[in-house]
Amino acid sequence: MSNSEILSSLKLAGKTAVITGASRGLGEAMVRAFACAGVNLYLIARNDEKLQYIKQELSNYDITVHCFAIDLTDERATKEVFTKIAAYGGIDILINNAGKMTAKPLAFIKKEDILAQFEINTFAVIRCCQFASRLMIRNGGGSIINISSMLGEYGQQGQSVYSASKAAVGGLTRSLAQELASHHIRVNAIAPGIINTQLISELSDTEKNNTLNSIALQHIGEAEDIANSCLFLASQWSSYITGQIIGVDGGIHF
Amino acid sequence: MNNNEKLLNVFSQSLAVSREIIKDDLEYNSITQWDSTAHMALIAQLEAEFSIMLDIDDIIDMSSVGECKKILKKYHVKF
Ligand SMILES: NC(=O)c1ccc[n+]([C@@H]2O[C@H](COP(=O)([O-])OP(=O)(O)OC[C@H]3O[C@@H](n4cnc5c(N)ncnc54)[C@H](OP(=O)(O)O)[C@@H]3O)[C@@H](O)[C@H]2O)c1
Repeated sequence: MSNSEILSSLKLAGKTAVITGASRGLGEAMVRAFACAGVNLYLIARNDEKLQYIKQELSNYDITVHCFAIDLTDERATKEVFTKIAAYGGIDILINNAGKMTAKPLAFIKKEDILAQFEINTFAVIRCCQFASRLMIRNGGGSIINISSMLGEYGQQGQSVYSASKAAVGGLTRSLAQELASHHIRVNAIAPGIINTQLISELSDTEKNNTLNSIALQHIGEAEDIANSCLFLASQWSSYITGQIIGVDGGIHF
Repeated sequence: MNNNEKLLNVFSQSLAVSREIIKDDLEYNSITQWDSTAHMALIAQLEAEFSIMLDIDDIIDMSSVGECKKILKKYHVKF
């Protein structure tokens, strides 16, 4: 099967997706993968210049792309974006990918550190699920994909707050899957292991090496590995999958 | 169709009840059909019909048909 045959078998062409954290890293890879599959896109992140650059690069695809440069921790701005999206005609897919990781040992964690990570990693995810699910109900259903983390499942030294904020996403995903199933909305999470993006530059060399030793496949993942899993969870191929947290981590074992 | 008619349609479709029982004093959870699942459908249909996006506080406060009308007025929907 050729690449284009695989993409067309997903039957995603003409659907519409919101991708948060679309300006770089995993989000940018998702944007490219979904554009290849013919999905119309709403891109959200704070850096407008970067979003516009990505939009420009997608100009050869037969899709519509709208960019919203907002801080997702701002409730009002988020509501305004979803109001605009509603006016454009709604969405089928939401990928809650925007996130922040700050490593700190327990003794050094301030309330502001906790809030800063929970605001974007957890609270913003809940808010986007609230707005998006209502738009999906209008359209008869959809797929929500939350990007959590293997650290949310296993934890790691110095990552207590980040891990907690991502574990919360796991709980949210399992519960929403039950709550939204009757509205034909599937909710799943992808828990990346260690993937080659800017976020990982936060890890010390020791942390990176320790992690590498615990990856069965013995290499760090690429953003495309996560993007491909998102395509699967957005598509008809995963139509009987909901409430799952899927590790995309090269077989990480702590 | 006026806004009252639109509201009746939205309620009767989302709750799967006949229009006759939709009175201002009909309350959330007072009939089996108006449960939390139907409430989500109701909110989605109200937003679609009146081209609005409700605040979370307003969704929580939408405890009856009468309250719903009051809340929609805040979003410039006239009855
Ligand atoms: N990379 C990994 O190994 C790894 C592993 C496990 C989980 N994850 C998770 O995967 C997701 C993406 O990670 P990544 O590696 O691609 O991270 P990244 O390179 O740091 O990118 C994060 C993205 O989120 C956006 N963002 C951050 N804060 C935001 C805010 N307040 N409002 C709006 N957008 C915001 C950023 O855009 P702006 O700066 O333009 O706003 C950027 O597009 C995160 O949720 C992360 O926790 C990553």
